[in-house]
Amino acid sequence: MCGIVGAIDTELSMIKGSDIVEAITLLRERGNGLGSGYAVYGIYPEFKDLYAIHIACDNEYAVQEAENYIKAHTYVKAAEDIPVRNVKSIKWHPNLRRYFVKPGPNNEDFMLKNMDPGNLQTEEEFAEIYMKNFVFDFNKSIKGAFVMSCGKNMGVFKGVGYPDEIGEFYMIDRMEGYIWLAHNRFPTNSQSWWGGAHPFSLLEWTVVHNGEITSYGVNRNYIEMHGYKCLLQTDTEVISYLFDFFVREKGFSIEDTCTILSPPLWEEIDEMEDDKEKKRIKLLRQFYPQALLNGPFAILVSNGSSLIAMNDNLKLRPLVAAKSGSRYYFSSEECSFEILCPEREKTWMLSRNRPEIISVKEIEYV
Amino acid sequence: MYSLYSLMKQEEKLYELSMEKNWRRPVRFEPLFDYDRCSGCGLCATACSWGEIRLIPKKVENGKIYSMPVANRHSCGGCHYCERQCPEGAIRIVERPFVSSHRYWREDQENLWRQADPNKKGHILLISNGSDSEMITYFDHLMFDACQVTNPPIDPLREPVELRTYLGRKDGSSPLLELNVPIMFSAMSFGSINLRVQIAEAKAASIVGTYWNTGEGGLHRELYSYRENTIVQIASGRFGVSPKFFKNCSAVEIKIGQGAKPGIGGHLPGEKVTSEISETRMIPEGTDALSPAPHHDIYSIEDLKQLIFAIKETTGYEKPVSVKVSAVHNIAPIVSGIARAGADIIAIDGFRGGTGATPRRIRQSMGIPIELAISAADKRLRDEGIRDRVSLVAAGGIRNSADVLKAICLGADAVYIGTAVLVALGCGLCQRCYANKCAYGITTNRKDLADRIDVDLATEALVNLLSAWNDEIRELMGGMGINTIGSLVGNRDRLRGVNLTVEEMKVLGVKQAGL
Ligand code: SF4
Ligand code: SF4
Repeated sequence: MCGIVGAIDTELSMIKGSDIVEAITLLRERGNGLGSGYAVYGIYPEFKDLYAIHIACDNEYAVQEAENYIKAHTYVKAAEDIPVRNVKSIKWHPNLRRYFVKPGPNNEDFMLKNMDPGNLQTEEEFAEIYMKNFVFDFNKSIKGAFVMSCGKNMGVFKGVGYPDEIGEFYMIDRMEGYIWLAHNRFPTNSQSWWGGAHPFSLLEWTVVHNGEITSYGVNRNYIEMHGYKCLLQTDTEVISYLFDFFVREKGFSIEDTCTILSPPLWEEIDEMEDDKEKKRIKLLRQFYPQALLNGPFAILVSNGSSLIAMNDNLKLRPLVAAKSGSRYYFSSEECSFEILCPEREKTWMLSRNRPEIISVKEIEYV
Repeated sequence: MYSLYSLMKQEEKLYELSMEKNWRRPVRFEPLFDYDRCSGCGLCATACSWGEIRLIPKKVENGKIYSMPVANRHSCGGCHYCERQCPEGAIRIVERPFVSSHRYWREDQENLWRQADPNKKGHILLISNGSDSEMITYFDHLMFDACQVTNPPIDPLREPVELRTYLGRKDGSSPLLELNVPIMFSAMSFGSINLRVQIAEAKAASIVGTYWNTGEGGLHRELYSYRENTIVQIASGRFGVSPKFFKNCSAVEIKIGQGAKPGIGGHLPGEKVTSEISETRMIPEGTDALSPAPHHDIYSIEDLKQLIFAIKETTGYEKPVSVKVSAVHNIAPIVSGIARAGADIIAIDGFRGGTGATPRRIRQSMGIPIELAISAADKRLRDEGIRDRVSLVAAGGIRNSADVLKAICLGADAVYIGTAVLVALGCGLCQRCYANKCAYGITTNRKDLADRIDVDLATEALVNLLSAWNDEIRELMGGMGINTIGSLVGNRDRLRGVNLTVEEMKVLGVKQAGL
């Protein structure tokens, strides 16, 4: 049992962090103080072309090593400690740093030099693959440090504590963003550490997840076969990798990816009337059974331009949605909407394998 | 009733037989008769196709001779057919105790006696079924995970739990096989089993929505109508390969090896080659059907690749091609090579896989357990990033639905069952299928015995078997909180090992229970 909250403004107007903190704090019962976190898009407009790397390090030594590693592999334009407030109940916290970087060591031309000319990659694609590998190598080689997030114009703020404490700690109330994801954790299958809190992030993708993925073993095998590494000791990270793999690497649409991850039942597919749709779903389900997510789950996923809300195909976890003007809200429980949007046009329950995909209007920097 | 004279004649003959060169074979099994219950009906004497039971006159009343059955004590193999047939329940098959000193097991000693028998030429000992060696069965040391508290188990009676499986290369280059249950009937050729059993298999496969495999003996014309559910097999003997053979199937399997006899070919003795079999196999009647150990056009992997593509060309890329190999030490690189050679499905047959006839020494000491082989193959394919190019099928030693699911968790997409099919049809596992005398009428082509199989009943039995396993698998999956079988393929997280060594768990890719 966990609590999740998500919000998106399709017009890109800013949603206040304080509302999000309050909404997720309302779901306090759904957590046990062993992990909470927030992901926010649109917080670094001044660095919107740079990858914002958030790292957490266990000690000074790890900070030093991490910093050396980042400097050796990326071109750092700016770096600072993530500002935090003292919160009484958070007795210990890791050293939290953020770096705004370009791929490639100390050299802005790195990309041009290293891109394979025979390959039809754009600069952007190359940069993303580079950063992805950077994150995996970092997590693997630096002991006591991990990357919380590394997308553009976004950040993940998470830790061990109740959502109000973590919100207070990171000063979420001072932040604003056009997409928010928040999570309140009741860990059951993995130990509690700062790296185990949600959201999980890879490049632009972030995920918050309520549930347990019983197919984790298969999903991990599949994604590791394609060059991803699962190092964070929890099942949720595969979701972000799967989205990254299908959407960015394979070029699938988000709809197709959602179908792969949570397809309709065979019975339903057999009975579909729309032949084209039937064929599409059938093929996806036949070809990628290892990417299907099994077990009870409600997840919110974002890549900075869309917010995806999805349930397992038996609907074993709660997820409700609300719309108010250009804003869409998602939560484990309807009560959150009393804070986020007391006056809303529509409130509805997500039905199983009918993912909601809400996209922002065109923005130039996604 | 039997005449006294004929019975006495019979007696004489048996006496002579036993005195020939004074060499008695060891007796292991024998039927014991409870004469208080026995009504003297004589059914058992005809039931036993092995000539173990004879009737002797026991008493004369009102001028009539009443006979009673007695055991000949030279040919009972413990198949329990007579026991199951006796209407009075008067027969009990007993295994005689055997005391052996030193490190010679019963098997060893008996086999030495058999091989040294002066009445026969020293010969290679034949045996049937899969290996019965005492070696560890890994399936028995693996336990499933179950949901408690943090995630709900699924109740298969209320919620859908899906077993549908697709086999083949998942890139659209050839069609996929659709299985409603991830269980197929393994290759058993016409000749090694009779046509009635094959018809029952084909019918059951079409009812359930899965596949049956012809084995290497070609495809009998009566089975053409089950083409939607038929996998035809091509082995080194190339029996019965013809345009019709390719037309009337859903997939083609190239058999390189078989778990019970890795590295050796097949031999169907001439007396088993009846006219029907000669027609289907396309060989002269009464000749021995020999499949050589290697395919004479496959001496390395590139030759296999050519054969795979020759078949694909022949069938217009409309049938997936499977390659069946025995589980051997080097299975992982072999499987990787086969995947790269273009196979759509790879079936791996473990050393417990059954057979109609194999040299005993080969069966007992060649090959490796399927659990280890499938796990190693799956891991290797994943490490090389080509696991989604092929489907893996595990065969050899799958005894029940839990074994099916364990094999799947270890990396198989589906399984083949062979011996389990025979047992479902009655087989008493006496391991003498090569003799053409099967009392149950399964592995024999003698018309009188084959007639003991009722095709409709046998079909029903196999359909029942699959639907029972289907339900059991759904229960197991529900307990694990998983509602589609695809989420279990290679999901070793859902398994834990009990009483295994660290090395064994490493190969299986499972953790010690409690961790
Ligand atoms: S039918 Fe089978 S068990 Fe019975 S006596 Fe014959 S061989 Fe033995
Ligand atoms: S099928 Fe083979 S093992 Fe089974 S009873 Fe017949 S002869 Fe014996």
